[in-house]
Amino acid sequence: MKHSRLWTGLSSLSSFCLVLSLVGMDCMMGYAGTVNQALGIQTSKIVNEGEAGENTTYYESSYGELNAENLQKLIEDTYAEAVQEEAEGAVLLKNENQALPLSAEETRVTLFGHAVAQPLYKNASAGSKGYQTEHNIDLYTALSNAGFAVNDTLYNAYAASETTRGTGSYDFVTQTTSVKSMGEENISFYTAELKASWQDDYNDAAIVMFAREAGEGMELELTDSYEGISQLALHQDEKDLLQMIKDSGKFKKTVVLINSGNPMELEWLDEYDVDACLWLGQPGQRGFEAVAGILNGTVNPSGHLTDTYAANSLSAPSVVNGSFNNQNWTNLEEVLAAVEDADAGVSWSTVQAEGIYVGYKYYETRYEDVVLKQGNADDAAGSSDGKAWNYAAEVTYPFGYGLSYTEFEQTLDNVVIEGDKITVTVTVKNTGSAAGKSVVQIYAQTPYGEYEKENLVEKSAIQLLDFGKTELLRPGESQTLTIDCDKYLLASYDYINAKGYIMSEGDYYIAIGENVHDALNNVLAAKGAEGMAEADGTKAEGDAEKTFVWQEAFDADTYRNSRYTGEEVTNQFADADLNYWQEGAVTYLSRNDWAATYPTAATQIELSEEMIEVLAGDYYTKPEDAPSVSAFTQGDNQGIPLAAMIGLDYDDAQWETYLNQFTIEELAVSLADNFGTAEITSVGKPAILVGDGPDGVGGSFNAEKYGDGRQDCCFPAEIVLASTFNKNLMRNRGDLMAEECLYLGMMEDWMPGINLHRTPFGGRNFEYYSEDAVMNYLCEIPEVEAMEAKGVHAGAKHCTGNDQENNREGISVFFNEQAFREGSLRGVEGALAVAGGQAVMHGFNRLGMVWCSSSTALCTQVLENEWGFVGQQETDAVANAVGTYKGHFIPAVAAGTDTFCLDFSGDSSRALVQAVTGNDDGYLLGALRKSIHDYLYIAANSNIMNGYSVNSRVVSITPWWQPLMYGLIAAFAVLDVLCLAMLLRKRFGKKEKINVEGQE
Amino acid sequence: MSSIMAKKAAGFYLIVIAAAAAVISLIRFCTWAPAHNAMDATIVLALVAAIVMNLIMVVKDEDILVVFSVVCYAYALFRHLTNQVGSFVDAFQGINMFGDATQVGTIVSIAVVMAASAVLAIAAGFMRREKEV
Repeated sequence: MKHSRLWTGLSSLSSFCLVLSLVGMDCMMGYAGTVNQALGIQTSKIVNEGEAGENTTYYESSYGELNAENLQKLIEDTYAEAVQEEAEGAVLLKNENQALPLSAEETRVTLFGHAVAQPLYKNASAGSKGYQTEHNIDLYTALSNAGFAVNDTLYNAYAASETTRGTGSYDFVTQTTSVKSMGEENISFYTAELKASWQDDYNDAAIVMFAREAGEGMELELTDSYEGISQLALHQDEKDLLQMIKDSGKFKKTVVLINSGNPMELEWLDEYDVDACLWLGQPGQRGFEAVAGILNGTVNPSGHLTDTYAANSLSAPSVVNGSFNNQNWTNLEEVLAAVEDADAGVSWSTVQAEGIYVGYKYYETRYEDVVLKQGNADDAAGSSDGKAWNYAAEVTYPFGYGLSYTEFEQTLDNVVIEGDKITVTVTVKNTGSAAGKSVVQIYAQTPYGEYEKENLVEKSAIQLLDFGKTELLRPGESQTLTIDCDKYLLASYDYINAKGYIMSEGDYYIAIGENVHDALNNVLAAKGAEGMAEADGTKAEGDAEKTFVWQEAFDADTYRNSRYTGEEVTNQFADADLNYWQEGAVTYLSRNDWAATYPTAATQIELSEEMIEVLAGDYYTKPEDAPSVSAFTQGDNQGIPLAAMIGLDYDDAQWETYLNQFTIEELAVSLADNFGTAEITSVGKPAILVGDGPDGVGGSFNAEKYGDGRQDCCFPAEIVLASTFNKNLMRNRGDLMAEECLYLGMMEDWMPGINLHRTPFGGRNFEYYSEDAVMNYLCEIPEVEAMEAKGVHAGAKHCTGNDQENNREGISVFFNEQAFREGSLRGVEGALAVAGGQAVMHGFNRLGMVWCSSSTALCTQVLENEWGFVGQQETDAVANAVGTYKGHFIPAVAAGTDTFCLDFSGDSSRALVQAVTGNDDGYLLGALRKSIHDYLYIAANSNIMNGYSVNSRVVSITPWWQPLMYGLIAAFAVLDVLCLAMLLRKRFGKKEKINVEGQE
Repeated sequence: MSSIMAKKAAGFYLIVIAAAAAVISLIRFCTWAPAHNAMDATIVLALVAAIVMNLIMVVKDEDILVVFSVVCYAYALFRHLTNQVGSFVDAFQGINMFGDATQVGTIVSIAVVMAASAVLAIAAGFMRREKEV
């Protein structure tokens, strides 16, 4: 036998390529949905047979026909909306001596801070990446376009610098994903040459921009690795920069821009003689145009904060257990040994000992109690300086704060209460010298009496009730706003005694104010209190004229039953309260005694055997009375397409007939949602594509079809939108994103972000509205309504309690039911129960020890039975879930989950088929049918059915990359066979020939 | 043994190094994967099979074994990488969702050694593994 080096080598090489193409193809098929979405490929099309006759455009674009010309109009409008959102969402925090706007002569400026060359358009997360394209406008360009002359010497030095702010993306050098670089230049960066650049020019203003960047899966650090301080505090390089600017004495004005979705600590503004400070949030791809406008005065800022800006971010009681203060079980080893799931998802817990006191509800309530000298509020517990707790030392800017270039006078004209409707009429007059918009903020206080103290019903001293915004008012102009508020939002959840919502007995106050603290001072004035103070420590008087008071009797009946369905609303999450398992394990923060109840350390938990069993997540066993699988009709194809279901009620009997056409495998295949699901031609179900992102759906327009292949708009971050306090803009955002989805062929978009800014450090605070659940509730209604009206489903995420990124996958979140219902649940109720959103994405977290997606209490009882939700309930991403806490597909479907997000390999589908057929489990088959019914119901009633009629056929389209890959496989296979044949011929064929020759 | 080794040429030593690298890959993969929910028995089997084939070549130089061992190394390499696509997606998007971006360094380092085995085995295929008598 003869060796052949050539053919051995070539065979090896071709085999290597063949394996590469085979495994690669296998991988791409597993991720087919994602690949198709990235490439903008639809995998099915409509073939109409017979006469179309009827109009099959069920949801029309406001721009008319989907074509190249109208797409350009849409793009123009999205960019204009993005600029307007930033214009009305940016918050002017400080404006000493009217430093802003800069005058027509103050145009030669120097930009400071590395962020000016590396702006933070958006934190790392899903959605549009439009800010990475040529259609983005950065700060420099925006300023230049607005007529500013920027000091290029310093700007170019920043741009050329190797300093980079940690983006949260993976660092191949350090092998870490944490934000490990603050990204600010060391003071040594500012050489004499650079300093010379502003000595005689470009010194009309020093514009300093600081950024704080977190992201999906990454919190900001409570105690960072740089200086051992909060990442929200001012750091040494930043201090040095500000000091250098101050010491130079060259600049007429110093303006600070805060480029962050997390509230920086800003007590230092006066120390460095900062004249003006403007919060930008993350402006997306066009927002810097508005920032330039605010700086030069063509835009008058009218945004207001949706978070409290604390002097010390660590002073929030939610931080004690939250974020990096999460805890492992004290008997972790025992737990890990007992639970089969991967360790990461079963190891962590957080106890929301702060109860309802998140954000301003803590700071303002404690403030009132200090003023009224009750509840040991002035105790040092929770105080940042170890002294008696003092509001002015704790809060820099309260929720709702925001300045303008003009002055407004607001008058509370009238309050009328009729049933659940509280109609508040407010007249706003522009008393200043510039045109501007004013926000009317309506707050309320409800009684905190003996019943509440006895039954641990906590009350925020002040709570947002609703808001409105004026049109642009010229100096001297007035506008009267009439705002209908919902009394339901004043009910408190009593989980101890009434086990339902109650209206407390006593005095109720409505108050308007320039911010939450101002409104509370007005309430205190109405109460005749003394000793009020502003956030800066100056004396406050309050204005009783801006309040309205009335009395209510105790009422546990009005909201006993759901206003949406009539279902009794009562305790559902008792087992998410640690005290249910271990009596007295948690002391919830109570205004009855701040000193005794302020959490001082994270709660440590030892899991009992019973708790470990719940953590293990195996909740489903086949019921004894479960029917046989044969009790359901399967595969009875009567040729009914999904188009025949358009407009039918969810409960229409025709749906059963339609579902009877599916085989079990066909039902199960749509459980695995990879940013969409494949077509099922036999039942006329088209391929479904979806978007994902509150600030941009994340897709590219079809260049071949529309002549423009750019990405959809990256709007300013959701927190900026909320800060506009303008429901028209929120409605516009929903409408425009829906229009983009029409062009992108998307059935839904996973938006809005509905979680709470529970701590200031949350990695995704930027794409959630606020620290306040009612603010979330109010903001999401116009957005979701507008999107749904266009036949694009708004999938609120992440339902719920997913208020942190740290350990978000599988963390056990413990709480009491009042805090949960008035907080996390209220924060999504507006989207689902009020606005009619027909999709929802669950949180990664657990409610107590139960994964959100396996929680019957959440998925079935609250969402469906109490809120009347009809639509798609989806998990958060379950890629590679087998062997983890997210791999419990069966209990999830049984609990009410419909689809599994990013289940690339279809594990959920296979698991359900196996469980149904292997156990002859008709009960589970019923649950599976319900899941697909939910999913297809919203598909049938969405824009993707445009063009389909009962005469239509769904025809599969093979994506172009598949034949390409198959071609490659075939080519390598042929090559490999040839090489192997040659090798074998050489190796064995020659020998035979030699033997023959030998014999001869 | 010395008589066997005396006959060996450069290609053989590449095979030995490939097998040694595969042993390292096997150990690293088996210690890393279970802790990160990444265990894949087919990868283990492929590596073991390739190592066995390479060991057989100590006593019997066979071209087909070279080719088969390349197939096994290639399978282990690409299956390992594609199993971890989620971690790469996370790493490049700067998020933590589909996989575990913190593990990308380890994933890549294991893959690099696996790739070394494959490349060495391919190179050995083109080379003489025993001296001509």
